[in-house]
Amino acid sequence: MDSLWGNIFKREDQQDTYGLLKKIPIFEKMSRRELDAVERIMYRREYRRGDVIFRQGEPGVGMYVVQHGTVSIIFEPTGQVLAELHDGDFFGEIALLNETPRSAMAKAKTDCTLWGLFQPELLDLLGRDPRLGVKLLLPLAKIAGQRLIGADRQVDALRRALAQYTSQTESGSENHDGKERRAVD
Amino acid sequence: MEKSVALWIRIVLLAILAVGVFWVLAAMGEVVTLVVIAALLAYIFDPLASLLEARGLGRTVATTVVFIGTTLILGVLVVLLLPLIVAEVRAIQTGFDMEQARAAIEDVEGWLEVQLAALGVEDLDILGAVQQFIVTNVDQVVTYVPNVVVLLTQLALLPFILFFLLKDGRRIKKGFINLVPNRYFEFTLNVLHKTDVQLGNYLRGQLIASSVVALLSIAALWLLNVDYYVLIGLFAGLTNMIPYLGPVAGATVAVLISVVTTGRFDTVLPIIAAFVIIQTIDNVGVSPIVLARNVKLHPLLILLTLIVAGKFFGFLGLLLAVPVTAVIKVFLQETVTNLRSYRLA
Repeated sequence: MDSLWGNIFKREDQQDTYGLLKKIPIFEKMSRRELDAVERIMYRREYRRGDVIFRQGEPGVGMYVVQHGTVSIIFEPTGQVLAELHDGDFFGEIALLNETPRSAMAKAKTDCTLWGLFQPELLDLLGRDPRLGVKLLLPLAKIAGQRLIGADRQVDALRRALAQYTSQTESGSENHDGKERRAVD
Repeated sequence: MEKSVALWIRIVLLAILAVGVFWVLAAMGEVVTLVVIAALLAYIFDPLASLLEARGLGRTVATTVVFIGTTLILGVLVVLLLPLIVAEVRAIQTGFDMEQARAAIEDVEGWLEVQLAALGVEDLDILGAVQQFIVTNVDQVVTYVPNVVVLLTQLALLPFILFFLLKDGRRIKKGFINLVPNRYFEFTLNVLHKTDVQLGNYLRGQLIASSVVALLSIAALWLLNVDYYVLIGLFAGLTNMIPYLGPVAGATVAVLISVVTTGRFDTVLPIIAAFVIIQTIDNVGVSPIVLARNVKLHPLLILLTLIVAGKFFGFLGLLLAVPVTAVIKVFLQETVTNLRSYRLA
């Protein structure tokens, strides 16, 4: 209930909002006027520790930026924590660009203040002010790209490890066979 | 067990709330219709204001430009059409040329009596029946036409409401969404967004299709020398929103008025042909383009809605019944679909 009142009676201090948003990396290159326009299409939400932000499999239409607090990204079937996000991080950006079901659950690990940015408003902004839309999307795309490169490296490392493991087990089983043969001999 | 009881209590409470809200809305009748008209208009004009924003104007300036532009266009239309409409309304008020009407009906009667003589029918007295019908029904029709003073007040208020809804619509929507608890936040966003996409196309499409039909009808009826061609054309355009019934209603009124005012039947076929052609143009050339994804409303639903809307909200209620029903239907449909995918129900 507290979070409900928090959402209704949030402080509308413009100076404050500007300063806080400016600290978030994807907004740091924006001017005051631009950030005002972006703030107008975003939703500021307060979450209490343990609140679910979204569940795996729900239709996703947007992303969240963490202004303050820690968010856990959890693979629901196993309960495995995939990542923890802190001040300035964002998550759910795939749903912002392409409406897809959420691939994991997001849960507030501590009390959190998040900024939600959603596809309908983003597309509307792109139509009204394409220059600003690009300025908002480009850093997002860059970070999403970096995440993809990171994931690629992980896949690569896993592939090598798998190959090594396979060759080891193959040679291991050959040795094993050899020993057996000798034992039989 | 407890869970299902709780669910039932919730459903009953929701139903009571819905009835309460409807009762309050009906009691405020005129204000509600005013806000609904303004909201629908704001909705239709919103893309225009956004387009101007894309050209670098601020929202307030963009809204003002759209507002002045629309007022000018409406003003020109009113200046052009109003004298005609006033003349037509005055003509209706002073009454049809009763002699001609009587002659026309007696013609039909005579013709029918000759045709039906073989069946033993002798005196039909259609004229008496028609007169009886008019006397009993005129009162009811008149109560539907709004009081002129009230109408003028409303017309003066409408631009104010429209202006602020158009200018601050986005902020109002955001304020509303901020009130939604976290658990229903994304769900609400999704429902509003999906409703928005479907309705935007539907309402703008309807406006365009109805305008085309109204203009074509006015032109056709003018060419065919039918009296009250502006009023009938506007009527045909408005009723065009009602599937199946609408086009028939327009044509019927046109034929009746033509027969009663001229006392001749030779314009009946040309009028029907004109309406068939206009409907074909609408159905083949206009509607498929402007109504990309149609909101399907069952004719029976529309009929019942018209009766209820007419009873509670009068004449304007009749005009708004179809678009408002579309809004409610799409909203409920999206709510149910999303309740399932968000596992809220």
